[in-house]
Amino acid sequence: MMARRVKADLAEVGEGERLEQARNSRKAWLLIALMAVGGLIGFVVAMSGGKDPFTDPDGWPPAMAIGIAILFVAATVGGGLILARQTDEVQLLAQYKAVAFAALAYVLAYPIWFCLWMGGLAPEPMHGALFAIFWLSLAGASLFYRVR
Amino acid sequence: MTHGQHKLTHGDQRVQNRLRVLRAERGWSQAELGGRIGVSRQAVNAIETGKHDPSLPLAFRLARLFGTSIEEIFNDGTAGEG
Repeated sequence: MMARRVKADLAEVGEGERLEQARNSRKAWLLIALMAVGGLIGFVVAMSGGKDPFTDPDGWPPAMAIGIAILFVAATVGGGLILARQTDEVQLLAQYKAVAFAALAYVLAYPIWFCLWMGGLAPEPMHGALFAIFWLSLAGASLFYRVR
Repeated sequence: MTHGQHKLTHGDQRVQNRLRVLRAERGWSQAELGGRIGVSRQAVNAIETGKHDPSLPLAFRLARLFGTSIEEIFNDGTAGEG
């Protein structure tokens, strides 16, 4: 019943709309896959409890560390390239602006935090927090440029 | 400026387009047009409202789809000037 209704709805839309729906669907699945990889990496890192592999004997084995690093690079660079092929020029331009904004946020956040730390006004800069600042800035700017 | 045309300002240069009119003549939605030229509905909206200047390849795709020239769709206000 449901499948028949969906089929009927699809029959009413034109060829262009069907292509647009298919493209959106491909993008959604790709994003879900990339988020799953990110979630997996985040889970493994969180489970490690922030141990220092150079000083802590229970740190990550080298093979695991290399494997996760490769997975992260492959997902970020490879996934980004595949996603860009599904993205039109307006969305790409918005994304470029968002990346530039996030990069600016990062290069400003670290020296400011460092200076405040040197002045005894803030705790020592944390790489995890700086990484989060970059991604949160990227998400915020991306949303801003898409909806404005 | 006739109904359906939109302006895009780049310094002193204003680009108008007849995309909305051409699309309406064919009874297409923005998503329908977007699917036919390989861009999103949001991209079509951005071009129609003058928020985005299409790239040359995209302008050619639009011209081919509507069976016309780029100048018939986009006009920077200097048409006829030599």
